[in-house]
Amino acid sequence: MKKLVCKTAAALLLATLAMASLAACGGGETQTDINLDIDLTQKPALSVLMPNSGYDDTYINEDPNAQVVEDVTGYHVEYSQLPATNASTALNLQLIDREPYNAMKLTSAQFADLIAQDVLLDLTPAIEKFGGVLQEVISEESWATVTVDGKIYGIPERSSSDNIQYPIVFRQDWLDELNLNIPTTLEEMRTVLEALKQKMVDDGDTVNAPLTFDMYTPIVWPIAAGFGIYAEWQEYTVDGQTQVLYYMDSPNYADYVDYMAGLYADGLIDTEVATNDSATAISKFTNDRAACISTSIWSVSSIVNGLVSGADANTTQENLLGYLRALENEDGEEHANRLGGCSYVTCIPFYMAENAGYVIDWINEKLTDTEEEHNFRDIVIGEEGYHWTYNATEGYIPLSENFSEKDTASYYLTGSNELVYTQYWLARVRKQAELYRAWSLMMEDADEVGVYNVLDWAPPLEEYASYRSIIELYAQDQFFVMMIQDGGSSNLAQYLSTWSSDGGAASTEEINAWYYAQ
Amino acid sequence: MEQTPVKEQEALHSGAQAGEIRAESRTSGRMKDFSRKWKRRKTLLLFVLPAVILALIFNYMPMVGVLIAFKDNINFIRYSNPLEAFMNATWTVEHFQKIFSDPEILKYIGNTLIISVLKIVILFPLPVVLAIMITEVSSKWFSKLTQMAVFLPHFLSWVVIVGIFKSVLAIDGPVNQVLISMGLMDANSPTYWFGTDSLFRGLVVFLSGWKEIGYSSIVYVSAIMAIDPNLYEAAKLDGAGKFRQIWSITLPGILPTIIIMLIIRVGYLMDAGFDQVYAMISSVTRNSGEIIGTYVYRISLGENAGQYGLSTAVGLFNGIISLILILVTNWISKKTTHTGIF
Amino acid sequence: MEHLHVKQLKEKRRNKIRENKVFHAVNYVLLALIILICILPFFNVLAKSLSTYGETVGIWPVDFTWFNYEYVFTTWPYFRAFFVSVGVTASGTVLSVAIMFAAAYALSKPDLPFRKGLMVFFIIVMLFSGGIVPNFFVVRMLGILNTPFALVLPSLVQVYNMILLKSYLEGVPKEIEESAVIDGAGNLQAMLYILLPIAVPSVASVALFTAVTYWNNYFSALIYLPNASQWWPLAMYILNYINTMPDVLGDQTLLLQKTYIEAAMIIVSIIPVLAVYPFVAKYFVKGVTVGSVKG
Repeated sequence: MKKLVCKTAAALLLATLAMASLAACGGGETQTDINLDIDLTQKPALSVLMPNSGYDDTYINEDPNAQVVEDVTGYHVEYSQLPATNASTALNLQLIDREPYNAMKLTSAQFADLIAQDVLLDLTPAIEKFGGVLQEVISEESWATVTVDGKIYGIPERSSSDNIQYPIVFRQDWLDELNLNIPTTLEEMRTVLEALKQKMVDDGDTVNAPLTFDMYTPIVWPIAAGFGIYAEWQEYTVDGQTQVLYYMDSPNYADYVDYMAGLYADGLIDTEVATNDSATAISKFTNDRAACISTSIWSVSSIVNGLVSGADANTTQENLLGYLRALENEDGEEHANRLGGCSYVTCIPFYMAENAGYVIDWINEKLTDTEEEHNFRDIVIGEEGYHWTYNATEGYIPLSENFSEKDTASYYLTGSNELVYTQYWLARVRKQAELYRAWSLMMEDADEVGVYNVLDWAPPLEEYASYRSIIELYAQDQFFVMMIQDGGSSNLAQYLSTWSSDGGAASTEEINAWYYAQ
Repeated sequence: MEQTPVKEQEALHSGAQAGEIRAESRTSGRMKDFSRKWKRRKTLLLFVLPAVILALIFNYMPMVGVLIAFKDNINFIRYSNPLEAFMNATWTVEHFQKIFSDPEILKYIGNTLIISVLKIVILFPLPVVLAIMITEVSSKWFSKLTQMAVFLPHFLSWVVIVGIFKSVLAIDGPVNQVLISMGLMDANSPTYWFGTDSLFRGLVVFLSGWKEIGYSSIVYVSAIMAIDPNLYEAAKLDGAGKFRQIWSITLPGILPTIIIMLIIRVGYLMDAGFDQVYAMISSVTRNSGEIIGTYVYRISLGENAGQYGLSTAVGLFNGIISLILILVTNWISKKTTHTGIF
Repeated sequence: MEHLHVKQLKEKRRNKIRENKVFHAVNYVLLALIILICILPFFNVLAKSLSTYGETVGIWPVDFTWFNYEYVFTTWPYFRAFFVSVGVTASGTVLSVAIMFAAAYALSKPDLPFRKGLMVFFIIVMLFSGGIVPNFFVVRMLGILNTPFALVLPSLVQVYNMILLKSYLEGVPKEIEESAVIDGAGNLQAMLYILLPIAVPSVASVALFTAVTYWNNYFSALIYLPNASQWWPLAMYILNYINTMPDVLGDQTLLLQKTYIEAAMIIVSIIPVLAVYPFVAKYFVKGVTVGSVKG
């Protein structure tokens, strides 16, 4: 009894001590107003937090591209980076510890997260005063993704190009052997797969299947296109009513699932798709254990290197690889999934308001690209004649050896000059001949064929942000469950009901409210 | 060194004491003896002190944070003072409600318990058996080689292990090929090991065994080493064979260790191995494989990175259950075998 | 009559010897099989670490190359992390084992004041935690955030190990210590000179467990070194490397070779443990305590 009393007393004492000490620590007043009265000639050193680079901490400060940024802007910058794993945890802990970062380059998900916690600085006044170039070169859509209640909380960095990037890559040499073309309709797709399967069996492989993909691919976009599904969130008109719906919720989704389940049951889809990670799927394709793979075009370089060795890997591979962009839908039209939106947002923690003006000025300098000051161009592709050349028909061409230096250039961008970025960026894609060929094929008539995810241009939406990961993971899981275990869409209604109550319904409502209010 | 059951030891102890007292029959001698003993008992506390202080600082002080489980939307970034941040958040039990909100929660609890019990029943005795096998080897270098080999798998992380076994157990991988050539498997429908719901739990137990049996056997090896070799000599003279020796000497000798390990293991009943299951699970194996840990991980994806209410609530919940389990198991053990943690 | 009796005994003896031989033979075979099962997957990792990208690797390297090891050995951050791990593990193990042994010694004495309460105190430590953020705040308050001390100090109390030591010490016969006490030994002397030598197998295994825990621990680095990657231990460094996504438009060779470099990193990180193990195994020896009671 005495022991119990002693123990409880000790525990209470300790708890009070803990609370007292926690209460004691913590700083005084935080300056949350931007100082607009700054002298732009007195440039302070800046400390910027970047996403993980894949390189080590000292390296990102010594990279020649960091030096180029310093040369054109006149600001010396200390770069830090987030770890590759548990980045959001590290980010949050550093903010709790009030790390003095003048700016942070974050992913849109991290940005939305910090908006929800209300810890970012409203940059509008600073942009108005110091961000002349920013206002010119960044589009309305991009600004919309970082504006909440009329206030701008970050500088959006639009993707280098709005790419159509999820083809099904075929072994062109196998197709040629069988005298087949890349399919254009759903029926042709099945025929081609069956022929490829037969070829694999004839070659001695009875276990593997022609089509493979990894476990993060619930939607094989080229095939889904045949069912009128072109993007994750898309507008559909059903019985005269138009609304924005998730793909799982879309009218023809059941047909898509049944089609895929049919392929799976007939051994035309790799048995192990539910457990393949990306590297495994690609390695199956490059090791002749699959005839076609649904993947992003950015895997093309690895695929080429896996199939072809040495110098040959730098040439185009028309004989080896073929690309299917999208199958025709029931009206015979081709539409393809197109990626838009801003991949990164550069923002400032609320407690670093004092020098926000300098940060905006720094970014302003970086994005400047005029006849007199080609700052942006210098950063992205470097010097004319040394790193690149230009001609009117082909645009910017990399001078291979020297251009390798520019591989890390895009890492240092905090916001992009949307008027010119795409052209410059093409020089980088040109580096790998086959990749450029694949990209060009996919981007033919992109504006007519491409369909965006409606949310690519949305600002942070509260409900959606909180439910997003859950509903996406659920939809992804249930696709494999339906295809592999249920053998089709028989239980779809039940799964949709769970999806809705898990946040799908709330998200759909919020998204529609935003979309139709613009 | 002799291993005698606790009760006999206590008898020995009091016997020794009685002897001492009889030896020093004069009163003053007894008093001096007594005060020396009291001093010794008190100074013993100093030995525990460093551990206690460290535990107070690094375990009990943060434990105040358990209250986060009852608060919503604490914003530690906006308020530089954690206490202020705490005060400005609302009290709620919604985190606990959320854990039980999923209609499938019973299934997840069921999976957790089934996997955990399977692991205990199948994998608990094996390290003991392995330890005995290792210590019975007469060749010293072979014994050392074995110890080192079985101890290695513990060092690979689950991500790496799953990667390796996914390719070993691939549908056209080496294991299936061997089984097909031995006629044990149909060449037209090879087993999809990682993607078959009914095989998942077995696979979990198998891989967990592969990783941990060797490492867990170390405790028993060192316990067996403590048994007096004279006991074996005596048994051999009496004509006892290997199995008899193991049954009558080795096992009883390490019984206290086995019991302690079992009590702790049962305490962690709710822990079916998150790192492992998370690395192994896929959409088609969630039915039998989704444990509480992976389920909580899934629903907390929806929370902001700065919100720990849900995970703290689960931690609290698990901690309470573990405490109850340990106390109960310990009590049972004390009643039946007179050994226990306390 | 006697003649028959002796014959029966000899028969029994021969059977026993045969039983022994069979037992030993089966034991060896089973253990050999177990060794194989444990080591084979390692051969896969080892083979990968010596291979170039291309075909799938089995147990034998594909396109043998030292490139992966060259990469690891010329990457200074890897070695910095390696040395941090060595320092943290060594200091952490020594301190933790010493503190836990002292506590276990005290707790193994039935007449320790508050014994039951202290046990409950420690069990609670083992089962409950305040979570990431409260631990972060405590470490920050102590001023050791972003320093290697945060990798050592918070993990010193390992209750599981303390319980193992305590149970082992409880199995030691009282007479051993009693005889020393009668000779006038104090607590400290009894613990260090009498009990510690006896408990060597247990201390050795606990030291091994503690060392392994420190060596594999990445979680402390994750929370307590949010902005001090120069102090990252090896476990954190490797985990981070495994998760890095090199730029797809960048150096392709490195991108493809990445999983093989990871294999090399893993192999190199296991070497210290393999090197230390034989020294520890030396203490797993039979009959250390024989003779200490008789005297």
